[in-house]
Amino acid sequence: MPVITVNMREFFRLLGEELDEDELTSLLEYTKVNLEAYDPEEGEIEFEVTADRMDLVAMEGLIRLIKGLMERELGIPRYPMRRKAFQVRVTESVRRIRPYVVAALVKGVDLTTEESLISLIEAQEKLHDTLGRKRKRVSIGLHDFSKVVPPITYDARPADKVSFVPLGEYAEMTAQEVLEQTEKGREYAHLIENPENLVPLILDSRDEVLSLPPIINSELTRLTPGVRDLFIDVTGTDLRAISYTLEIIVSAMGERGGEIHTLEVVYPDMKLETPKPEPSEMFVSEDFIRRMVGIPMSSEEIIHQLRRARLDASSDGSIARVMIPGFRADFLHPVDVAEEVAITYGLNNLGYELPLNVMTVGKRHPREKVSALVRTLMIGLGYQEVLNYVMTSRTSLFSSVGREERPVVEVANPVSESYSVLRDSLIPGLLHFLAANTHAKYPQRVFEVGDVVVVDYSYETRARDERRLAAAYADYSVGFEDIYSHLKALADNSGIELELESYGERPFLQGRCAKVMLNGVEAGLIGEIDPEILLKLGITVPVALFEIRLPIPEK
Amino acid sequence: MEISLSRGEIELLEELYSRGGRARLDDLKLAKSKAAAWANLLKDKGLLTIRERRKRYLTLSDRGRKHLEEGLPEEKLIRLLRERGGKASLEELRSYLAGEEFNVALGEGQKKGLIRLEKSEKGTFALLVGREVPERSILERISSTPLEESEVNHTVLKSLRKRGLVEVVERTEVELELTDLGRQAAEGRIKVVEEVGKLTRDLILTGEWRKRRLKAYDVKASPPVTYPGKPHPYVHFLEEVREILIGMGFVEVKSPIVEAEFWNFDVLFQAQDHPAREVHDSYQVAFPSEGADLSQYSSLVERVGMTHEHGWETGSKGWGYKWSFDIARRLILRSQTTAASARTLASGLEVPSKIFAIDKVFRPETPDRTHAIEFHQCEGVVLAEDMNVRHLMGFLAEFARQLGFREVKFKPAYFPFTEPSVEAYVKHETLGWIEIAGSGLFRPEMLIPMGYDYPRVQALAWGIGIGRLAMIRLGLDDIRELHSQNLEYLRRAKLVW
Repeated sequence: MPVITVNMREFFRLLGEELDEDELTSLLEYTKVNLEAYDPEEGEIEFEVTADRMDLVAMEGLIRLIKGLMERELGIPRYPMRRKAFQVRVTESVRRIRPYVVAALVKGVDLTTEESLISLIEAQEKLHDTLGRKRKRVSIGLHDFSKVVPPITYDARPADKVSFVPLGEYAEMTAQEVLEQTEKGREYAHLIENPENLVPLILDSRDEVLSLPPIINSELTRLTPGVRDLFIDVTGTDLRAISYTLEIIVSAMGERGGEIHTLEVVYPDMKLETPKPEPSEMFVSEDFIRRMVGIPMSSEEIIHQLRRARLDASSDGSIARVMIPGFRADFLHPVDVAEEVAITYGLNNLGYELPLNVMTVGKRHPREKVSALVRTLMIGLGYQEVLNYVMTSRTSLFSSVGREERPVVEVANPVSESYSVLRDSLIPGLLHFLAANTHAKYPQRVFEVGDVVVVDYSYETRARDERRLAAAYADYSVGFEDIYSHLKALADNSGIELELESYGERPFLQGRCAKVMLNGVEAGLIGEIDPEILLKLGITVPVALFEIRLPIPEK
Repeated sequence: MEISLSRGEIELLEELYSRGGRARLDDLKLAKSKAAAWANLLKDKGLLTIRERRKRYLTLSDRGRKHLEEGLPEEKLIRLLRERGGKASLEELRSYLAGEEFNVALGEGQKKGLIRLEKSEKGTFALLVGREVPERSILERISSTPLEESEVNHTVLKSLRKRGLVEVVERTEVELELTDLGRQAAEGRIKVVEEVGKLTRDLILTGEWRKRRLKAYDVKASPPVTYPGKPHPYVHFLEEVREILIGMGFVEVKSPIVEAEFWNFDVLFQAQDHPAREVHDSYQVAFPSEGADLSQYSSLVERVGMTHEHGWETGSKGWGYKWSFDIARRLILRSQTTAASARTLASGLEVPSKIFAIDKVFRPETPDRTHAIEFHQCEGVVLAEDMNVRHLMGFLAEFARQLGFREVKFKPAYFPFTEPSVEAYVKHETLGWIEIAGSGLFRPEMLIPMGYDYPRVQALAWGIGIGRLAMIRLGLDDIRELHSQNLEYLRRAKLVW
């Protein structure tokens, strides 16, 4: 979840009043936002916002919501708006590289302080990282409109044929040089790689480069404190995501007193007006809302709560007509409106009840049932239960314990080699456990009940879980008979027929190892561990061990 | 006056008396460990005194052992001279004794008066004049038992040490001596009643126990340590949680560790480009390399795909992108137990039903104090008619109460597959409000493709990072300790109840 840090003074200046930590915390109980830090000394507040409310990544968005909750402003904010100020033309060639652009002009914005600019840039970066998927899906260009001569063109040109002064540089560079030599160029060039070596460009009517998305803007349109008019371009691979991003930025600038000018974005095959001049609407049954919220609520109350959430709503007595502004992208279904009512009303104000009429009979899963039984018996036999990870390394599973390699489930993106495959047996884990505890008092009797994963192409997900029990007995003098007697006790006390069949497999000693047959079905191994392997692990006492599969096959 | 003594104490008393009332612990016939214990008991009763003295003993060094076997250099010299009739030239001797050994033999031989040198025109000759080598007897004695340093002649000791033939070890010697009271008891002047420590079958059968006095125990003394067979404290806690949920009427369900993205994400209406599906948030399976076989669910798969794309018949707008079956069938490691709920719900549950899962989930996090490579989630679903968000909070409050938390509060949250979504917080005595569960009502985009009659039928769902709760209950501050590799910790760990 994104965390945003805001300048306290700027935040309270825009809100128009100061709130102490408790006041802010109790207001946020009516939102999905968490207060992470409130630090008057640093002059900062940290909020954590949720992925469905990216409009709150801009502090102006958060302030808009808080004003609604405090009932200082209700409903969708009416920012002054003019339509179709000029055109943004999209050429055919750029669509192969970075297919979509939307844009807006906002005039008369209050960005007088250094802090206000910093907060805008931070919101931009947060949007790049989250919605923008590190600029791949969405990237934003912010420009001082006084340096721009519209109309605008979104075009692709050969990287070595176009040059401009990139933001933060002093000299003109070709786009090729920007890609190869600047920090941002090297970081993001892969996002626009194409065989023709074209770069996407936002150009004004003088053919001046305003930006090379998603990499860098031009120094020409750099924002400085006191900037009044902003030209905003958003480019990317997903039209929905870039439109939503534009709405978030534009509405944040609306909160700063800006007058919004929509633009006409002209594609070879379609024409858009951005940002959207009108909110979208959704019709929701009020009974459905009451059903979800769980308390009888009047139409007026429902409408009032939606307006506190900064939506517009009206009612005909049974159906609410809800108007949703462009900066909200989290309304897919009427249930999303119901949630808005619930959280703005206050979850803790709704009260809770345990429905006593949902009568069902609880039950343990069969796999856990047999696990509980064998755990009880192993504990009775004096064994300490241990718990090891399912994820492990190939070395731990095989060579370090002398087992022969076999296919095991392997992940493509391990964090470390130590956790890169799934165990196919509990035995290696128990041996490594004993090796880690050679200083502890003997006898050591340990067992584990846990899942291993066996590759099996006939299974739906090509690998199936197997619940197993493994037990190890280590002492100055211990052997096959000791562990066999315990396995026998386990079998006898759970009504299982136990037979052994002579067998040899590492890490067991030849001649001191057997297959375990439970109710006539092969179900595991038992034996003494090869001292060669024990010594390699640093264990200097004999170890006898068994592993069996659960659930136990039926007779 | 009479004194109660155990059989062992009596034996020690008698042996000590027979040795004149004073002896070293080592010299007793009784086993040393037992005798030491009895001696302490007798001391407490004022029958003897115990004196500890540190003593220095000589033992053979490696060099000493070598010379004991091969002979000391001066002994070799004596042997050579004897074989040559008591006289030989140094030149000849040098050919038998190697450099350093020759010098030592000559030096020691003269110092001890074993040889005399005689110069003549034919060179220097050694004449045999003595044969006592005092070191030998000492070396022989200490080769079997260490000898107290003070028993060895000062000059010889000096030589032995200088020549590195011996090593000195310090030992504590325990000497026991009867007190007057002890002597009186041993001589029968004070009555001694034999006391029995352990009641045995023999004592009972022979009736002997009636005649003996049974020793009273010191109940303040610590007993020997026992390590019982014992559940793992974390598993024990998970069993407690399991018991609570079964008690509340929940049926336990399972799903595989290697899972299809379809069940872990798609069916939960998590869009295919959702960040949780990227490599840093879920483990992708490299082997087996073939995707899941979802053929038995083909109609569900189709409905889910359409729901993602445009909402299908769910009343939702959908996510508005081109849904890919190839992504849905990719294999990952289960990253949330909601996969188990999804599989079970999709199999067609009766209404009402309550299900839960407690299992491991896997996420590619670098392990540290708060992140484990795999951890347990506890997930529950109530599927019933006419459920709402108040009922969801009611279940959470009850579950929290069963876990021992009295105060609970709720906060709005976001999860891709629930709406409304709720986080539950509980009040902990020392830690304050802690988040224990993420929850919500499953979205229509999830329930309707599975065939449930939404909104009449609702599914309340919650998930708990149960490991964190276990850490609080077990008093751990590092999540990795839940999978501790330390046997001593497990042997000491207390079970919560």
